[in-house]
Amino acid sequence: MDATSPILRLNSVSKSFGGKPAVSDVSFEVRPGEIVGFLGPNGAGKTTSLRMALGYVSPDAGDVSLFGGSPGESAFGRVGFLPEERGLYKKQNARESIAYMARLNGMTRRDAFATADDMLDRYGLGDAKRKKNKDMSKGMAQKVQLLSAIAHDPEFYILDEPFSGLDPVNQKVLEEMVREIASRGRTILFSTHVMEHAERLCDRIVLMSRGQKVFDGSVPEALDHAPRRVILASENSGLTEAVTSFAQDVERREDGALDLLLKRDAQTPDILERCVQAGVRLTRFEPMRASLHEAFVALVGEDALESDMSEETA
Amino acid sequence: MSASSNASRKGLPNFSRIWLIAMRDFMGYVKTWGFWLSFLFPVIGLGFGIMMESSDIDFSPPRYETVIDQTGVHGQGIMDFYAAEREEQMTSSVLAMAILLPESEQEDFRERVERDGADAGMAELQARYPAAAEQIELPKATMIFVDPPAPTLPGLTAWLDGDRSLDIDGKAARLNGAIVIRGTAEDPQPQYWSKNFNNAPAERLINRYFRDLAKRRYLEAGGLSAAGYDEAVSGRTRVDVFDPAELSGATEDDAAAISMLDRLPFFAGIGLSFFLLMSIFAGSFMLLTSMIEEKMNKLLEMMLASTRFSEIMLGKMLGAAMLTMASLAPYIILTLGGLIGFLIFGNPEQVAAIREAFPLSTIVTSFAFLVLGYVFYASILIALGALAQSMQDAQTLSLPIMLVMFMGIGVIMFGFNAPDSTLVTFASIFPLTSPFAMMIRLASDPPLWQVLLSLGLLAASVVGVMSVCARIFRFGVLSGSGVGAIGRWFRKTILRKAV
Repeated sequence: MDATSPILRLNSVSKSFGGKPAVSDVSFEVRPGEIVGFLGPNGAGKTTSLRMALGYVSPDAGDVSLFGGSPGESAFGRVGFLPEERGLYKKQNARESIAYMARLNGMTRRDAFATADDMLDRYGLGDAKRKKNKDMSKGMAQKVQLLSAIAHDPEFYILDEPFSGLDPVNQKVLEEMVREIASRGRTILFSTHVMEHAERLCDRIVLMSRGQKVFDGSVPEALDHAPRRVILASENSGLTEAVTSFAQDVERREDGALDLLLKRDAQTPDILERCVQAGVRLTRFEPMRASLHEAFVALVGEDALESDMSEETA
Repeated sequence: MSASSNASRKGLPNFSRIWLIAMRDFMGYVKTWGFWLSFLFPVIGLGFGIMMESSDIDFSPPRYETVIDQTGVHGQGIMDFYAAEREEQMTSSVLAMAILLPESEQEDFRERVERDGADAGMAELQARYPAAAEQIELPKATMIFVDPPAPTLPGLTAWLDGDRSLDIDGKAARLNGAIVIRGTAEDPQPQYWSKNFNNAPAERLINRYFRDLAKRRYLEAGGLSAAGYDEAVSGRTRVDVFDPAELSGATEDDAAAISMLDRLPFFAGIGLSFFLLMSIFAGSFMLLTSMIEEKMNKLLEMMLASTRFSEIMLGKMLGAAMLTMASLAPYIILTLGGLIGFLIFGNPEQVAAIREAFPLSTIVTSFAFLVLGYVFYASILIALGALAQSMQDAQTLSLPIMLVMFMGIGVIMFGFNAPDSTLVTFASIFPLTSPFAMMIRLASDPPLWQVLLSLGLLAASVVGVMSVCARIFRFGVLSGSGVGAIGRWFRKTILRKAV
C-alpha cells in the first residue's frame, strides 16, 4: 500500500438484516489525509457501512479493504473508532478509561497513562483525571470516550455521530479537536446527520439515503445541487409579480421580504434587470448561500428524507 | 502505532489483550466491599472463633436437670443410663483419635482404651503430643443432673420459671427441667417438665432408657440377659471391603482391605466436583452481570476496533475465574497449607499412602476436566449474557443452565454411592455432566479409553460451544438484541416461519 492508496475502500457492498436491506451497492473511498463526512439521516445505513468498514459485520455482497487488506485484526492499533452509542465503565476514572483503551491498542502501561494525563490536560479535563466516570457530566464523559478512542494516535479515525448529544460549546471543542487531528495529517471519516458540521470540517462528503449512496464529492460540488435562494424587499408594489417567473417557490417572510427559491436556470442579474424594468425599487437584494441540508434535500427529495428518519424510529 | 505492534499472529489470540480485559473485570469486582467481605469472611470467622474461645462465654452450657422419682428405681436408672452412654461416647471419641498415631500402634492403643477407659486413652494421647494437649479434648456433657431444690413439682415451679437459680460451685445457674416419675417400679409414668420444650435432650434420654428397659425385660422374660444380647451383637460377623485393583501382591489371608485412605480419592473427586460447581455458580453471576454492564456501557463496539471477539470472551472468562479463585483463596490456601504441612510433617506411612492414592496422572486429568468444565459453562453463560438486556433476562436465560448444573449435583451424589453404575459411566462421558462425573470416577480407576473419550468429547464440545457462543456473543453485542431474538431466530430458522 503506497501513500496515495485509499485507506478505506468499500466496493459495491450490500447488507441486509432479516431480509430488509440496510445498505445497497455502496462504494466509496477514503484517501490518506482526508476529512470525509459520511452524511445522511438516521436509518440511512451509515452505521452498518461503518461496521462493515471495520469488519464487525461481513457484507452480503461486495468487498471492503482497510489499509489495503481485509478489515479486522491487521488494522488493530491503526484505527480509532468512536461508536454512535456511548458509554464508559462507571467505576473507572477518566485516566483509567483512556489508558485502558490505549493499552488494548498496543501502548505500554506507562505510555498509556502518560498520554491519558497529557490529553486530559490538553483538552481541559485536567481536574477530572481521577473523577469516576459515573460522576461526570454527559459532555465530559463523551469527551473522555473520544479521547479513549484516539489516545493511541491512530492513522485513521472513524467517528460515528461524534457530535450527537453534545451542547454547542462542546460541539465547538470537538470540531477543534477534529481540526487539530487533521492538521497532523491523520485521516478522518465521521458520520453525522447534522450537515453544518460536515460543511465546516470536511474535504469531501458521502451522502447516504435509504441504504444507498446519493452523492460523493466535495462540499462545493454538493452545494451546486442545492437550489439557490434570494431575499428581496421593496417599498413599491409589484415585486411579487415581477419575480415570480424566476422562482420555484415564493414565501413572504415575517419582516415582509420575499424569500425566493430560484429555478435551476434563473440568474440573479436577470432578476435585478426585471425589477428595474418593472419600476420596482429594491430595498434589499440578498442572494443566500445554499446549505448542505438543502443540497441533500435536493439530491434525495423531502420524501426520502422523512422516510429514512421514520424507518429509524419505527 | 505500527501495524505490527498490536496484531497477533493470524488465528491466535493476543494474551496481553486477554489479560488486560481479565484484569479490568477482576479489579472492577475486587474494588467492591462485597468482595472483601467474602474474602475476609474466613479470617473474620477465625478471629471471632478465637475471641469466643478466649472469652468465658459458653454458647452451649450444660443443662441442669433434676429428678423427682416416686418409683425409687427409674430416677437413678435414667442417670446411670446417661452416665453409661456418656462413657461410651467418650470411648468412641478417643478410639477415633487413634488415627493420630502411627498405623502400627493404633490397634494396641484401641485395645488399651477398651480395657482402661476413655480417660486413660486421653491421658496417653496428651502425654504423647504435649504441644497439642490443649486441643485434644473430649466432648462436653450436655446434661448435668442435680438434686431437686424442692421435693415436689409445685415447689420446683420457681426454679423452672427462672425466678430462682441453682447454686453450682458458687455460680448461679438455671434449672432447665425436671423429670418426674410417678407410678410404681413396674408401671412408671414419666413426665418431663421444662420451659425449653422445643429441644429437650432429657426427653430423648428418658425414651431411650425406657426402650432399653423394655428390651431387657422382654429378654429376661425369655430367660435371656440383655448383656448377653449386646455381646452377641457386638461380636457379630463383619464384612470387609476390598478393591480388586489392590489384589496384586495380596493374599487371601492377608488381603489389603479398604481403609479410609483408599476412600480418600473419592472424597477428593467429590470435593473437586463441588469446587467446579461452586466456581461456575460464583463465576456465573459475574459473567452475566459483566456482559450486561458491557452492553449497557456500549464499550464493546469500541474495543472491537482493537480486540477480537474471542479475546473479549476469553478475557471475561479469565477475569471471572480469577475472581472466583480470589474469593476462595483463603480456603484454597488453608487446604493447600494443611496438605503441604501434612506431607512434610505428617505420619510417613499416611503420607506415602496419600501419595499413592493421588498419582500425578490423576491430578493432571482432574485439572484438565476442571478447566474444560469451567470454560464449557462459562462460554454458554457469556453468550447468554450477551443476549440479555437486564438481570431479569439473564436469570431467565441462565435458568436452564443452572438446572443442568443441578443435574451435576445429582451425579455427584449418585456417583459417590455407585461410581461404576451405567448412569455415572454415561454421565462421565456426556459433555454436559462429564466434568463432574469423571472427577469422581477417576478415583475408581476407570478404563483409559473412557477417560480419553470423555476428555476428547469435552474438548471438542468446548471448541464447538465456544464457536457457537462467539457467534451468539457477536450477534448479541452488535444487534443489541435481547431474549426475544432467540424466539425470532427459532421461528425463522427452525420453524421456517416468517417473522
